[in-house]
Amino acid sequence: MKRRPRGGDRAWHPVAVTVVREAPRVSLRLAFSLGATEEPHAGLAVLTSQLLEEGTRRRSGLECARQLEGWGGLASSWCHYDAFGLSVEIPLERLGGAVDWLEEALLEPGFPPPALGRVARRIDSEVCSESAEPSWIVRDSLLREVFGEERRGKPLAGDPGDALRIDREEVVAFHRKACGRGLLISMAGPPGIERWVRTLEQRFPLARGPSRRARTRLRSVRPVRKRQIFPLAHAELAHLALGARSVDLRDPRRPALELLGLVLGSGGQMTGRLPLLLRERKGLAYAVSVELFARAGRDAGAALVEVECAPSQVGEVEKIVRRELEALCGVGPSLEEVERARSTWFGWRTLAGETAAQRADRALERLLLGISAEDDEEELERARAASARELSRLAQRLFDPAALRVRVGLPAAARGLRRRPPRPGGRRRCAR
Amino acid sequence: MPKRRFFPDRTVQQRFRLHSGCEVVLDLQPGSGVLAVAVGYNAGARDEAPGQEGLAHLLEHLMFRGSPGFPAGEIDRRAAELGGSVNAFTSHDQMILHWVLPGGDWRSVLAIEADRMRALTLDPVSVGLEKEIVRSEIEASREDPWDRLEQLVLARLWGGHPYGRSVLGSPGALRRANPSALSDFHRRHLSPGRAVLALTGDFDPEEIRRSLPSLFAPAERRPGVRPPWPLPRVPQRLMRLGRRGVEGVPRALLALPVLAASAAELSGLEVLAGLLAWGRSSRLVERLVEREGLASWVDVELLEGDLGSAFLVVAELVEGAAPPEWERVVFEELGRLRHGIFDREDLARTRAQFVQRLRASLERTLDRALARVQAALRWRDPWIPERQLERAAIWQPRHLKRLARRWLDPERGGVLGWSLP
Repeated sequence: MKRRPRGGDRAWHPVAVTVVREAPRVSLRLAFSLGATEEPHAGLAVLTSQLLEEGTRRRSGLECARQLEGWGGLASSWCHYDAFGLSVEIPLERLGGAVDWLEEALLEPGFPPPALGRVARRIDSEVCSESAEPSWIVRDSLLREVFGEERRGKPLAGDPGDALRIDREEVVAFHRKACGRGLLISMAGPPGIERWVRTLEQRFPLARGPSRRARTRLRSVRPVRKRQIFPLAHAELAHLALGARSVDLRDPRRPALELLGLVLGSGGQMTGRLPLLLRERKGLAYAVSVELFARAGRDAGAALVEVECAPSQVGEVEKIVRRELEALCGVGPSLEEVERARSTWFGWRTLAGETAAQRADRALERLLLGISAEDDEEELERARAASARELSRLAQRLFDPAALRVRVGLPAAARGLRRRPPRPGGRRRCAR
Repeated sequence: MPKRRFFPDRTVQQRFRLHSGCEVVLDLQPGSGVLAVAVGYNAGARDEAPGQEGLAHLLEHLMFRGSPGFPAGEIDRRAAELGGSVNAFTSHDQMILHWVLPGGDWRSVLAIEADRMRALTLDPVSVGLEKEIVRSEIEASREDPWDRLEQLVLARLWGGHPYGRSVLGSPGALRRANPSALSDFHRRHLSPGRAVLALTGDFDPEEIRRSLPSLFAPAERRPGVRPPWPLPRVPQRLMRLGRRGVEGVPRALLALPVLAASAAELSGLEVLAGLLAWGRSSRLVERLVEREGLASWVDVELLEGDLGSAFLVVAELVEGAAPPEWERVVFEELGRLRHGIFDREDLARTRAQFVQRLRASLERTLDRALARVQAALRWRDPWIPERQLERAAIWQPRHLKRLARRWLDPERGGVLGWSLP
């Protein structure tokens, strides 16, 4: 159920509610409209979000967890570049208890100092673990180049050591700033959840409608190091990543770009050009992935092509990827490809709305991006109308060879490369 | 106005066997607007002959490379045009192929499944290409520190048994794979008598029942009996393994051999796993992550096998945490379970989690189809998830204590593996 706010404004009501007939439990999402892009120090948004689970002014985090889990519920914090908040999955009959906890956790968090140190160490450890993976190293290096000095160029939780340098005052101040932005609330679940809308409005007076921040335009950034090759200590395969700046998630060209992504091979479909050629026809790679909205949100993300292949074949693979991107920019996709992508796009849209959790997430994303029900209809219309020519024009914009950055990570043993791999942040080693 | 579809209650869940021997499970969710199809075979990596390691998994890849009625690429194309997706996976015991589609166009899906159940094209060029792809998959798995640690530990836990080998096989065995060995494996093991077909979601069951016999008519009736395989021999004491110089953070994996997946008591072990690691207030998470801050995360999972399962305790440690400290906490908590130290609140919480997890696992149409197929293959009962819901209420502390004493003592046999920076 989507309710119109008073006064006939085209925005959604502060609480977006979707009834899902067979849902076994309620999925509730509450978000502060403030994320990593606005933190003064990298890692602060992630740390603040995780500390929301560490207790309130009245109860410890463990007490709260014990109660929620005892009801068969599940709570988790999350953070993105544009927002952070809490998610709860809970049986309908226990929704009241979950709302009590959410109110305390979001509006009166305790941020206990011992928890701060422990959570910061945990985040740091996760960052260290992730940043040792070969595919992550190559992707990270490329994204830093694509985004330049922007916050989206760094991983969400920052670099190793970042979380450890944050103190409690910064967390409290960031939370205060987040409260000033207001809350976004979305809920999906079985019939009966509608009754809770009024309660949520009363309990969360900070609830706001969708935000309407200005959209970032596509910018052309001069590459500094367009192509870079480096060794990877623990790799068996070569890791190739090509990328460029994409658009934000509110961009009206998003449906057409998603179709372009499907033509290229996003979503793991073997019918996309790149997996079809590299994997199915030539057997050059097992993993081929295409993503046109990496780290995108209110601001532009990145378009990425990533391939893992044998070190001896990385040259051939790169040549094929470049050739296909150029072909898309020039001749464009065939009508058959566009129609197939369109069928997939509409089908996946249905499949992505099966569960209450998926519906709640989708509604929250729309609140966050300021997309109304009317915009939703427009989006469907744009997907229906997108032509091969439009997709070709978009490909020219995204995959301009002059703006395309490339990173190649090769197993150190394979080539005897001596150059050092890029170290995230360049400050501290993770391994002891 | 669209015609309202109505299915009486008795037709919501159906189960029957086709003349070919293939078992069919229908699980309707009228009005869901989604259809999932899963075909599972009681065949997997443990059916490979010595020297053929990885053949079942390679064959799973080749199931998409063409059958007499559907040339290579056609299956993926059809899935994309229907707005859905198609995929597959192989374990030591099973191979499962699955589809999910928006809407009920099941005819082409079933025609494809029937065709590739009968035979595959297996032309040498496709086999060669797919061998290259799998080789790349094996290398990617070697890059993953968790995959490497798990392989090391399971190889020691299950000894020379096929459960101790990677489903992906080895590059050497992969080189030897050829169309004739693959065709032979398909003919011997992927027979209708060892298959289960499950449809879940929105469809007309009567129409399905009418179409299936002709679609799945066998060219020849092949045996549905799986060749026996001896039970794995497991260590009789705790063995410790370690790798140093691994990237990232310290990782630990404790593997204890437990009951076969078909045993009724296995859900009791799942409750014990829940007591240890479901949620922040579970015993190991509370101690290792929340209180003592030794690990960034910890989990317990049951790696189910028809001939024996493994109870796995896995964790990533935080910087500065000492591995012996982690071991001490884990062994203490396993000891508390063996001594029957259960508090009522703990058990009630774990039961509530058990019920909610099971319900959530049946929410998506595809997950439901996979659950039905796996349950039918393993327990010969596709409705096991619902029965487990009933069973969750009957586990009492004395039952759980008995199970923990029998199975959760590392000193009586198990493998503890570390990968350290």
